[in-house]
Amino acid sequence: MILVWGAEGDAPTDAVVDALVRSGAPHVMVDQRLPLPAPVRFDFGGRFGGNLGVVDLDEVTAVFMRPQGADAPGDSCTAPAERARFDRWLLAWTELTPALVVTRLSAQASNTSKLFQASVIASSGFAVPDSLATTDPVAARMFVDRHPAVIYKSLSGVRSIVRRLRPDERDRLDDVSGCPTLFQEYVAGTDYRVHVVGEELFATMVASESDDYRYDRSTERVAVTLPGPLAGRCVALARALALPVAGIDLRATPTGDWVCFEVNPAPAFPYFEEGTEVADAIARLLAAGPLNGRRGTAPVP
Amino acid sequence: MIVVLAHAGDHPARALVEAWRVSGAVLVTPADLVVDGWVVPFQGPGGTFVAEGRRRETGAVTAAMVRLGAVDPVELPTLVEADRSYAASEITALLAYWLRALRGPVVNRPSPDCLAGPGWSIEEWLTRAARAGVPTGTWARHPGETPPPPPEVDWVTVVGGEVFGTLPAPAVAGALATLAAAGGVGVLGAGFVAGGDAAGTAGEGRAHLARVTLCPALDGEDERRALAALLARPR
Repeated sequence: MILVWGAEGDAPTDAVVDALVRSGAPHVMVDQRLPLPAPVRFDFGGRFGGNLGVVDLDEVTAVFMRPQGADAPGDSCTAPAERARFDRWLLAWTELTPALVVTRLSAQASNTSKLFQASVIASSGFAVPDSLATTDPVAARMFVDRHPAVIYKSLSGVRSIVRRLRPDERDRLDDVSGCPTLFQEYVAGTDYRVHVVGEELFATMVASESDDYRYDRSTERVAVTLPGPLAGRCVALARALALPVAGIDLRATPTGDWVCFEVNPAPAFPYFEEGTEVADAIARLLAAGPLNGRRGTAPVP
Repeated sequence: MIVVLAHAGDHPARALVEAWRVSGAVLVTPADLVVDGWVVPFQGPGGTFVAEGRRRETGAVTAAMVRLGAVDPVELPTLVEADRSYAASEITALLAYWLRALRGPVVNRPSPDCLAGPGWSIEEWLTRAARAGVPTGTWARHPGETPPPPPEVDWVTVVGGEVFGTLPAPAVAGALATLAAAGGVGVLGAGFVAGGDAAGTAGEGRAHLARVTLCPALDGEDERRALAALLARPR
């Protein structure tokens, strides 16, 4: 049995549910927007199990989870404290179950520190932009002077708009002393979003004039095929980050290098595709369950 | 130089720094992260950090002790309130990288979701403890029921595989060391309920583990000696 945990209306969750329906794979959904199924019981101790009302946790072979934060709209019947306990216990269970989990929160956490994640990316053979995190305005100015152009963005997983530093913003560099700020050399080139699902790959070329294509309504997206060695590196990177599903942000430079900016552990893949290939691949992965010792981490070849 | 990273109000951390002051120990608190002085180049040499309000060379750090899971926005009172939550996330993200990039031993090593070790919930710790052979009992809970408050416990400390404190049974020492190793932590505090059922955790009348901390008090001489040895081990 496949457990889907999230909220109806969340595009990736809806896409995976639709794919599971198409494939005929048995699944149940725990929808955060609905009252908790009843009765719910968690069993703690050496054996961590329980019953969610709609499914016995021992019967779950795979999980697709995109739980929304505490500030997301929920149902009005469940007390916030009850919902919080349910979420905490179910999260703990997903960390401990031998089922395939797409994707455990502990694996998603690599994205909470971009520099930490960048060190894993670099270890996987990708070029990473020259980067500096600092609270020192002088060091920030020296870094800016060293590169033709520089972008700044958040260090953490908090979503921020990636922006190029304009010459008239140099005076604002004094502000970095109040909060560590991440600066990166600007890398010119063409963006690619690569979705890794197990060992399957789905690449999209993204044409945009913006520094952050997520905020560009004129962005064009075209499905492409990556060169073989690069595809292998993408699968290896997802494996190194223990991500059964990953959204890898690459940029191909005019000189032929591939630079990796970051890996999204819970990608919003429907934005990038015309059809349903990624969702269908996720459904196949979930239906296969914890085979080959995969156990919710990266696929084993 | 040994760096102790801790909340501003962490008295055991301050006591450790004072005890090791002659060896050059310094305390880093969240307030040190919102001042001029941190320079952290990605995979580059050099860099500086701030401890006790002074800029220092990162290359001079020989070891670090982490007693801070994440930065709390309330520890950044010098920032305007609207910015504190964002800044706390950014500081935590910076420290996650900086600590991992240090060349010497870091106790406990940060995980992606907790600076002081694995970001496991108490439910995860107890399950993993049971699997390691630590008595925990078994129990069932319903999310609609308010759980009892954390029980009173007797603390036992694990430092580098050595166990300090009164154990419920001698065999528990090995199980706790196994649990610490499973979590990849050098320092761990384990709180045992003396016996009988406490706080709704069915221990079947036996003493059992009920609480876990990655930041135990470490106020005994033997614990500090073991910790100093751990921090002196080559990474």
